[in-house]
Formats: sequence, structure tokens, C-alpha cells
Amino acid sequence: MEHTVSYLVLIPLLPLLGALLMGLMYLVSCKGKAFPEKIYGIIACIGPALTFILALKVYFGLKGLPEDSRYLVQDVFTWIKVGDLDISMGFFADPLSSLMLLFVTLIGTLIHVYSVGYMAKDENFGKFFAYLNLFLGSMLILVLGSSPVVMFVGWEGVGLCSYLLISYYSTETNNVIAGNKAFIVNRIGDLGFVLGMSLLFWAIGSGGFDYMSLRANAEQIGPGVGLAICLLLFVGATGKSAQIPLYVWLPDAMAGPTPVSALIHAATMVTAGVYMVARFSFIYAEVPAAGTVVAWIGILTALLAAIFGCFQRDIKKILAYSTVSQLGYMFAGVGVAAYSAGIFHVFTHAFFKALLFLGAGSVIYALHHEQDIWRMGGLKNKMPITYWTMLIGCLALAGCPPFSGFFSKDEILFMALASGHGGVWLVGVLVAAMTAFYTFRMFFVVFHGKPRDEHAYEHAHESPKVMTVPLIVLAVGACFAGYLNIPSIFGGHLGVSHWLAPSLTEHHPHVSVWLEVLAVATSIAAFGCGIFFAWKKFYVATAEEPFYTGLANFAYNKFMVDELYHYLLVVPYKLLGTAISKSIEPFVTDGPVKVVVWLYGALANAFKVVQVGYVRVYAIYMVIGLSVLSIFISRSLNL
Amino acid sequence: MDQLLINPGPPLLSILIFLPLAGALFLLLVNNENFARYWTLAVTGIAALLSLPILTGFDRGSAQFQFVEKHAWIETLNINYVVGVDGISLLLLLMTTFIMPFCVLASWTYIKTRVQSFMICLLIMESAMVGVFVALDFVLFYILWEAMLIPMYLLIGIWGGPRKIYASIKFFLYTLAGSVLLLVGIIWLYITNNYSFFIPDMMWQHYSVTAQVLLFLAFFLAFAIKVPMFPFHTWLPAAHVEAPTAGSVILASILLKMGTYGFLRFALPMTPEATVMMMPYVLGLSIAGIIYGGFTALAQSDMKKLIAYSSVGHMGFVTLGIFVLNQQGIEGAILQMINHGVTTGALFLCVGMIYERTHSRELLSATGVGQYMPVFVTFLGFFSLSSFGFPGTNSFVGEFMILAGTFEYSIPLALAAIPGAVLAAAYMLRMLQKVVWGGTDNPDQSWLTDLNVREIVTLTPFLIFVFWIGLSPQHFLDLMQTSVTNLLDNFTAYSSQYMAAADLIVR
Repeated sequence: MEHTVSYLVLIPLLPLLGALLMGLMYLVSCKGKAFPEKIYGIIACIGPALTFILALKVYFGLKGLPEDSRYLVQDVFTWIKVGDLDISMGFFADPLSSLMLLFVTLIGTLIHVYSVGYMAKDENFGKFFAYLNLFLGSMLILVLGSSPVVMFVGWEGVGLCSYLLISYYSTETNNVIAGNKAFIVNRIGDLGFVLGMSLLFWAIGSGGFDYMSLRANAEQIGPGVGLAICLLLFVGATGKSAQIPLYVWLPDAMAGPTPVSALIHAATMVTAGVYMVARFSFIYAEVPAAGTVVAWIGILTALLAAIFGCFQRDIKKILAYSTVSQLGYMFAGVGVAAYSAGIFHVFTHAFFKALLFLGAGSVIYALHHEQDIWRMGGLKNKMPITYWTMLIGCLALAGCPPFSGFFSKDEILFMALASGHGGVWLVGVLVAAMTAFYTFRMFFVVFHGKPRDEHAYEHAHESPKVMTVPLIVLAVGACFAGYLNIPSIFGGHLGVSHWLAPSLTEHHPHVSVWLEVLAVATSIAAFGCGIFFAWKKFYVATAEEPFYTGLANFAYNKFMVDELYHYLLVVPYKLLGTAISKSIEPFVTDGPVKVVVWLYGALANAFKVVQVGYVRVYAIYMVIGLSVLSIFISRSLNL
Repeated sequence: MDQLLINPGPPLLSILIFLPLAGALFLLLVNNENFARYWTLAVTGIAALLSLPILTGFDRGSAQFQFVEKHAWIETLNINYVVGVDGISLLLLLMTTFIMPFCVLASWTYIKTRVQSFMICLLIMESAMVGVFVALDFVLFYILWEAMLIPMYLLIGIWGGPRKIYASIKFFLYTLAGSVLLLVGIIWLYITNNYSFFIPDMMWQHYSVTAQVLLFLAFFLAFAIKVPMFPFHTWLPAAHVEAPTAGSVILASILLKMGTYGFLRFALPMTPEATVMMMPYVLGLSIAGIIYGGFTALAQSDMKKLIAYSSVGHMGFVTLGIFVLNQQGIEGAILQMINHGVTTGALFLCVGMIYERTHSRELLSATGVGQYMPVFVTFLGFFSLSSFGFPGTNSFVGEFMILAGTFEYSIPLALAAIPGAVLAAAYMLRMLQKVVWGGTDNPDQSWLTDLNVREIVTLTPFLIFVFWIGLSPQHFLDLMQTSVTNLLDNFTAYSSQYMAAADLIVR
């Protein structure tokens, strides 16, 4: 069969083998002399690079197939088969997964290369790359899994790697706690995923549980069940993709090394939720109510995170909140049933956000692990490559035409307007202005003005080539990725949307050109406003951190959400655990047992009274006994 | 006797029962500690190898008892020595023979006093455990069931920790008290079934409903204490905490499985109507166990206690799977019995390895171990992942099947069970956080040495099984499929017959 291929399994397998090999090398050598970094570096980069080549092969393989049957499958082995439950460990590539594959492997490879420079001289160099390869392998399982269950393997796998890498600098207790937080919050989301998956299985699983069969049988799902499935799956997405109410782990996740923040917590893993919603578009498209919930949660998350982003002082946290905010846009996109627009934003975002994080990493590296923007400044001349590439990244994030972020964000906002979600669109425009503001606030403070920490400034230097080359490649991507999906208003023909069309269940509304012009114009105006205020306030050389009071201070403290969760959820859970183990377990559950033991003891004590141990008492017993006996005998003999 | 299949060749099951016993008798004559260690390792190793022909010779297409041996024993009372395996007991039998050599390895340096006596206890234990899983005569079963208690009592009471006397007595009396009614039940069955103790003949008989309920309650008390199901679990943490490593491993991996095995072997086939009647309560207790075990584990500071309470939760999943009474549920439950044996056994081994070094099971005193024992931590990490059902590991498959089965039976019940998964992640991560990563204010652990070859050899097979079952459970499921299908077919046939009869009476 032309659709069955034998190379899909290699794509996740290569990085996984790399992880296994480096893990073993690390374990063998960790007691004695470590292997040289070069060997680890080569092994680490070779797997991702090969997967990129395979991703290209998948792309061209799909392109060679007729449009209405563009998919490749490979069933490796039967995983679980009991009764109705028949799940094979299989992989499945269609246009949607091929797009994800391409940028995940490309950016993954670049970040591996960058990390060789960034992590140089780290004592656990080998361990780091073993984790990083493991992550890439899991992410590729997530993207390529042929059924929700296989996807879940990758889904949990990336979560595990995220946990391991957040806790990577493990001598700081806070890092480990951040890792735990990420894992447990994700686990809460995963419950939703598992429930949604089980419900889906219960509804139509008997007809086969791979995506092809599910899509074919999707019509049999009733509207109520469909809504439940969509919302439960979305709970999973809010965990992995950091949406309200489960977004709290992502800013803390910045405790990990910066390349990890770029790869896992910006470009790839956190977009898994969006990918999942798009993957299940055949269900979501049938339940508009679920889509509305998704869109509103998304856009409100975007707003909330943008507010927080305006007040942060840690460069990585600013970027983290911008990631949460952009993820909100993506969900707004898939929520209004513009799946291709949402996925396209995933695609462009991967480039410019990876670029921004790696650029931030370059700055942090140059300033010897300084992350506070209010201790930076004037780095423009010291780090020209970082400066110019960061500028491109910031313009793309802020949505400046003609950089990539403009096209993808504009497409989402336009689709929101066109599909009748005026409120979503309005909030979206507001967030766009705020995005431009906080992005350039960070940019101006870091690179312009006067140095705020002279000592650090003196020692600052441009990063080595192994770090700047990936920056340049990503900057090219951030510039031009948008041209792959130019809307007709600019003379394009939405290339990416057409490519994705066979994978998605999507209807393009027909609206007047004027509406599109209106959408574009407001987006540009929002960008202009945002950057203008940032320039006004922070471009000046002497800009200092403002003193926050009132609402601003409340926003600076992130609306106390973390504290709220801590006292509302974490503390009660712990208290319940302690209460059960300290009082219920010994006194209630074990109570009957203790009572029985006590009763036996009491009984024994009662009998013990007669066993006094004095001869005279026993003599009395004997006398009594003998008299009773003699009475008995005399009675029975009738004497 | 159509349920029995007598395979040609040597009497393998009897060899498996009596070989360790003979090994123990021989050790009585020996007065050399090192020889005792090697001897026991050899005996348990040979027993493990001898159990392999049972696997290869087992006909997985048949639901009959296989490798059956039958000899008259006490003829006046019609008590026979009958043994045999089917798809339900096969994996448990193999797990027993395969875990024992590793228990010996784990005790290699851990046990320093009365080594011969310790090894004798282990060997007698193995004989009794193998016997329980293969006995087809109720008297034989009951004798071995109770006989297990004695070596275990000694293992805890002699080589245990500071509160060993309390723990061993509680373990002994609690479990003994549970099985007293079992004996009454057995005698009733004996009289009702024409004075026969033959187990397969007692199944699918039409006992009256009252009798079934009483019988079920007798079974339930004995087996629920053994599992242990909430709220009969309080002997378990005490016993686990005080037991030496090998004792904890045997307890967790094998002894607890006898309760769930008992449900499958006796309660379902002998009291089907009562099972259906009692099912909601048992399911409720299972859910309660999952949640209760999880919360309690969250609050523990003693690693062994933490894992002990996690066992309560995991075994809750197993009973959940058994009592939803469908294919996914029961197969998932049997697989999860094996998984729990592998994973929790390995976790106890890991804790034992730390204890041997630091002489403490407190989480806080193990903080920061990760930095100096990377190999150990890698093992611990994998087993912890398996413990909270990470996809790709063994427990995921088992729990997933059980949940799928539960979903088929009742959606709210499945919803109630799922928070157990979050709790499991929370308490295991808490342990990992404390043990593996640690903060800056650790006790000084730099003198610790990482695992030696013996310890790595002890743990590696467990890791292999974690991934083998996780990625390719079909090998294991195939072995039990026919027997489980047969069990369920009989069950439905029986219930429908009963329903028809009840219908007639109503009319």
C-alpha cells in the first residue's frame, strides 16, 4: 500500500536512541573521568539533524500523494489488545503533523547546536543532552502518534522531560519545587486528557481508535457527549499549554537552562495543546459551544499574561508571560474554528520565540547569569548580532508588518472577526497593543539607554559562533516564515492553510474585503500605539524601574494567583494528608483493631484477678471446689 | 475431571514446591554463613529456571488446569494432594519463583545475624507461596495459606527494625483472624459438595443465595485483609516498615497478591450471585482505598511507609479491576498484580539500599543522595515513574485497562478513581524531590558509594520487566486471556441461568 511506509518510526527513535546512549555514557562515566564534551555534542546533534532530514522526506512524500489522501502510516506492533480495546503502537503523518514535524525538528536541531555552546563546562553536560534528546523523541511521538493513546505517551514524555530539565540545576531547592509544580499541574490537566480520551473511546472506540477511524466515525457522537469530550480534552490542553486556570507553572519553569526554555517552554511542548485541538478538529468543528469556550479562555489568558508581562523584571519571565499570551492567541484561533490560523501562529511563534529566548540566553550568558532587565542596559554596541536578531524577534512578536508574527496574528484576529466573535477580536486587538508595549519595554531597557550595572557591562561580550549562528538562522525564519501564508488581500494565496486543509475540518467564511482591511488596519494601529508608548517611556537613557502602587503593584505581584492556589489547594491537600495519617489512620481506621486488642486484654485482666499466686488462696479454691464436688456427688448418688 | 490437563514429563509443580523445602532442610546441617547465601541463591535460581518449562509447555489456548498432579493424601477425609496452574495463576507463580533469587541477593549483606535461619525462612516461604498459587485442594490451600505466616512472622520478628515485635504480632494475628472464617467456609463447602475438598468441583454450583452471601463474607474477610483493602490495611505499614528488605519485597510483591488471587479463584466462581450483590460495596472500598492510600502516602516522611500506603492505593486499582467484572478490568487487574509486584518490589529494594548505607528510612536523612549516587537515582526514578503509571511503563498499561473496564461499567466510578493518578504523581515526586534532588542544606552525603555490581544486577531485571510489560504487554496478556474469558463466560452463563430461574419463580 502506498500509504504504508517504514521510516516514520525512525523519527522519534533516533533521538530516543541518542538519549539512551548518552544516558548510559553519562552513568558509566559519572564516577570517573567524564567523556569529552565534543563527543556528547556530536551525538546530541546528529539525531535531531537526521530527524529533520526525515521530516523533509515525509513532507515530500506527502506532497507526492493526491491532495484528498495525503497521509502516511506505519504500525509498528500491537500494543494493547483486550476485548474492544485494540491499540497499536503506530505512527501517522498527514499535512498537519508534517508541518509540526518540520519546525520541531528544525528548531530542535538549532537549539541542540546552540546548547553545545551555552552549556559548555557544565558538570552534567552529558545528562543535559540525554534529557534534551529524550524530549525531542517524546515530542515527535506526540506529533506522530497514530492514536490518542500513543499521543498520550509523547504527551507525558514531554512533561517528564520538562520536569527533569526545570529541576536541572538541582542544588537550588526552588528549582526542584518549580519542576514538581510543573509536573503536578500538568498531571491535573492530563486527567482531563485521559477522561476525554476514555469518553471518546466509550463513544466511538469500538470502530477503531486511530485518528482515521475516529474521524470517519465522528458523526456518531451525540452533541452532549461531543461537548464533554471537547471540554475534557481542552482541560488537558490548558495544562500542557499553560492556559487559565493552569498557566501558573510556566513562568516558574523558567528555572531551567535557557535553551530548555526556548525549546520546550516556548517553541514546541507548550504548543502541544493547540496541536491537539487542531488534531481533533473533526470533533471541535461539530460543537461550536466548545469552540467558544476555548476561544474565550484563550483570549482571556492572552490578556492576563500580557498584563503580567508589562510588570515583570526578569527577562525570561517577560518572555514566559509573552509565551502564555501568544498561546492564548493560538487557542483563540482554534476556538473560532480557524484551525489553520492557530497552527500557523504555532509555526511562526516557534521561530520568533525560540529566537527571543536564545537571544535572551545570549544576553544572560554575556552578563554571567544576570536576568534582571533593570540591571542591564546599553548592550547594543557590545553584542551587535544579538541586538539585531533580537530586534527582528521583537518586531515579529509585536506583530509588526511584514515580519512573521504579523501575518499569523492578523489571520487569527481577522478570523475571529469574520466568524462573528467580535468580543474576542476586540480583546485581541487590545492584547496586540500591550504585546508591542511590553516587548519593546524589555528591548529598550536591555539594549538601549545607559548601562545600569557598570561592572557587568564592562565584562559583557558577544557570544561564540555556535550560539550566534542559530540566532541568525532563526532570525531569517522569524522574518520570512510569514510569507508562507500570505492572505489574498496582500496578493498571496494562504499556502499553509491550503496545505493543512486535508487534515482539518474547517470552513472558510466568505466576508467582504473591507472587513479584512479593517482588521489589518486596527492590528497595525495597535502595534503602533504599543511601540509608541514603550518608546516614550523606556527609550530614554535614564529610564529606571517605576515604583508600582495600587493596581500596578497588584499586577506586579501577578494578582496573587500563586498565593491563592497555594492556600486554596496545596495547603488543604497537605493538611488532609496529615490529618488522615496523624488522626484518622491510627484512631478511626485502626480503632476497631485496637478496641479488639484492648477487649482481649481486659478479659485477660478480669481472669487474672483470680490467679493471685498465694498458696492460701489456692487452698481456699480447693476447699470450695471439693465441697462443690462432694455436694454434687452426694446429690447424684441420692445419699 | 474435564477441567484438568495432566501434562507428561516430570512433576514440575511438585518439584517447585518441594525443592526449596529440601534446600531448607539441608541448610539445617550447615554452619557456614557464606555457604548458606550461595546455597539459597542456587536453590532459588534453580527453582526459577525450573519454572520456565511450565511457561513454554503451557497451552494458552486452554482454560483447563495444566501440569496437574493428583495423589491421595488423607483418604479417610477425602483430602488429596492436587496441584495445577491455569492462566490466572501462571504469571503469579512465575513472579514468585523469579523474585526469590533477588530477595536473596538483596539480603546478601543486609542480613548479618543468623544468616542460615534467615535463608531457611526464605526457602520455606517460597515453598508455601508456590503451593498457595497451585493448590487445587482446599485443605492443601488452607494449610499453605496459614503456613506462610510463620516464616514471615519470623522474618519480621527476628530481623526487623526497632518495633519488630509489635509489627510481627500485629501482622500475624490480624491475618490469622481473617482466615478463621475461611476455614468454616471450607468445611461448609466440603460437606455440601459430597465430602470433597476438590476446588474445581466447588465452582459454579448452585448454592442458595444466603449460603453464598455468608461464604462470600468469609472469603472477603480473609482476602480483603490480605490484599489489604481499605479499611483492613493497618497491619501493612507497620509490617513493611519493620520488615527487612527481603521481607518487604516478598510481602509487597507476592503476599498481597494472594488476596486478589483468592477473589479470582474462589469468590467469583463459587459465589457469583453474592459477588454481584456485594460488588458495589467492594468497588466503593476500592475507590476509598485508592484515594485514602494516596492522601496518606502524601503525608509520610518514612520512605517505606510511603510506599506501603501507595500499595494500598495500587491494590485498590486491582480490586477495582476484578470487581467491574469485564474482560478489560480483570485482565488489567491480573497484569496490575504483576506490575505492582515488579514495581513496588523494586522500590522496596531501592529503599533497602539507602537504608543499608544511611541506616535511616527518613526522607530528610536521604536528601541530596542523588548527587553522589547517580546510578541509584536513575533506577529509583524509573521505578517511581512506573509507580505512578507513566505511559510506556508497566503500570500504565494495567491502570489504563482497569480504567477502560471501569468506564464500561460506570462512568462516575471511573471519574472517582482517576484523582488517584494525580495523588500518585504528587507523593512519588515529593519523595524524588527530597531524595534525589535535595536542596543546599543537605546532610553531608559525600561519603556515600553508588550501587555495586550485585545491587545493579538485583535491580536491572526489574527495570527490564517495567519496560517489557509497558511496551509489549501482549506477551503477558496472551497467557491469561483464555482463562479470563472462560471465567467471564461461566459467570455470565451462570447469572443468566439464575436470572431465568428467578423470573420463573416470580411468575
